Amino acid sequence: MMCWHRLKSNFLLWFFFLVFLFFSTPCFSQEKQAEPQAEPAEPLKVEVKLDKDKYRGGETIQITGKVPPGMKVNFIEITSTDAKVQVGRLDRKEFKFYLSREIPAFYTIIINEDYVARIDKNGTIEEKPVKEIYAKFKADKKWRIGEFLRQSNADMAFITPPQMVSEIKVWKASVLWSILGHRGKPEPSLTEKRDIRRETARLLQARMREFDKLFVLGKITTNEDGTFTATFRLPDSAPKGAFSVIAVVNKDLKSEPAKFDCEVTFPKYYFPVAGTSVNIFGPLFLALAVCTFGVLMGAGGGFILNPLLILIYKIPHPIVAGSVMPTVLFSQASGVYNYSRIGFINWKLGIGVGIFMAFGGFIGPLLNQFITLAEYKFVFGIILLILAALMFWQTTPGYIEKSKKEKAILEEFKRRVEAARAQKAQK
Amino acid sequence: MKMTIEFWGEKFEANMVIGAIGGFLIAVAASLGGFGGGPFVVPMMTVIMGLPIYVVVGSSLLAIFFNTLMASSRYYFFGQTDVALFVLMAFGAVSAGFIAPRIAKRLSPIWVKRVAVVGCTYLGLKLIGILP
Repeated sequence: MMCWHRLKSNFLLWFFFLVFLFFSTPCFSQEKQAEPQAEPAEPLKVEVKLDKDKYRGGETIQITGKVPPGMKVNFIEITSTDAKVQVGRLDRKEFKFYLSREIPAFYTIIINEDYVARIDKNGTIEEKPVKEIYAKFKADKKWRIGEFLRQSNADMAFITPPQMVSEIKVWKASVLWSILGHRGKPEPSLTEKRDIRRETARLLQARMREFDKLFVLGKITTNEDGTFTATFRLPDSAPKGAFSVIAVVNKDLKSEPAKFDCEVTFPKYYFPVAGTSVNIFGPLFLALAVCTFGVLMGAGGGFILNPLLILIYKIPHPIVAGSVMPTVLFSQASGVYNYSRIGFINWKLGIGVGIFMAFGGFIGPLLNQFITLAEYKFVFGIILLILAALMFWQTTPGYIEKSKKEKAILEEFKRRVEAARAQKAQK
Repeated sequence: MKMTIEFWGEKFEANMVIGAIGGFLIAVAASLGGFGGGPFVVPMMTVIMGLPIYVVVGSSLLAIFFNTLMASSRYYFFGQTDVALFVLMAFGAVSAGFIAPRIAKRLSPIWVKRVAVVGCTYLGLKLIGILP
């Protein structure tokens, strides 16, 4: 009995000792539970914001934001996402004509002037300050957008336009098709992302034309705490509608688009096909002045109006030609009507030459799409110089003397017609 | 190929080969540039085809009208006509039709042409890149 009690008390002692041990020291599984769980790493992100959500052409956009410490914003992409225009271009190597109706009316990439580009040259990485690359391409009149995007690493910031374009139409051009007045033999449209990206860049170059309009070397200041600032002046001719702004650190790290609206108010007006905003009184008074001068000279004035619209308002040459042409149609129609009333039109001569001029008018607009702005300006320049020479000759004394007689006959005819009309009216 | 044309009782011979080829080439260049071609058609008809100015002045306008009508339709079909821009400029062009005859009486057409020579030369040299 005594042994049993002793056993019992020893057992109880051991039991309570073990219980005490268990609760006083953390057990292995509890230790494991108490160990703080390693938190998943926060994804790196870039924040961007603008000082306003509405701007007008000519205003400066203050772009601020934050990047992870130790990183820098190297590019900022600005795209008009609402305003889209039709752009076409002829590829001279493949002799193919590409056309899209979804090209942003405005696009630019701000490149940090301190950025050092890394170019992969057959396995070795070459580093070059982007300033040098920029200067080289700006000085080259035959610059190519694809090469610049690659060499400057700005291709990592070429984001929005390829997303906006869903299809690019293609035609295989040829001399025969051009004579027939057609763009060429239709080919399957580009729908593959890679092809659309490549061709969208080229169409953007055709649209924006000047290198320093498409790419801007600017100051993007990133502080030690990761905050950054940049400014961008919206051009006076900026299209109306929504824009997106994306800040890019590298090809894997960029911000979500920050949005703003560009407002266009009177007296400015946004011309949707041209994709540009202009003070309406500009083209109005220009057309008035030039056409008045043209009528005084005995011409329509279109040959002066076209180059002036391109030089002053930077409207794309296909749109200028396409909009000025119908402008002179009304004055010509009115002239034909007035001359026919007084019997001053020889219909045989007019229609005979006119039919062949109609054939020429069928082909000319097609060729307008195939030539670049530089070629258009050159051809037009030559035309104007020939015209200047012709008009100079028409002011020489010999020509004036000869045409005096003919003009006198013309005036005599007109007087007889008026007299005949007056007589008829009296009767 | 000569074509006989009659104008107020007088008969003239017009070389239509020149008229056809010249008209076609002028129209291609003019419509590519975006204008009618009048300043080239009149000298072509008077100097090369040998017709007097009083025959040409109305008939050339009819010929140019064919070019302008065709080219305008083509540009519209290609989606290159900004209708808003056209309407704005048309307003200016129509107004010019009223204003020009009123001031024409006070100006010498020869001097107007001389000013045009200077202007076109300057513009032409600027476009081909000789002038900045």
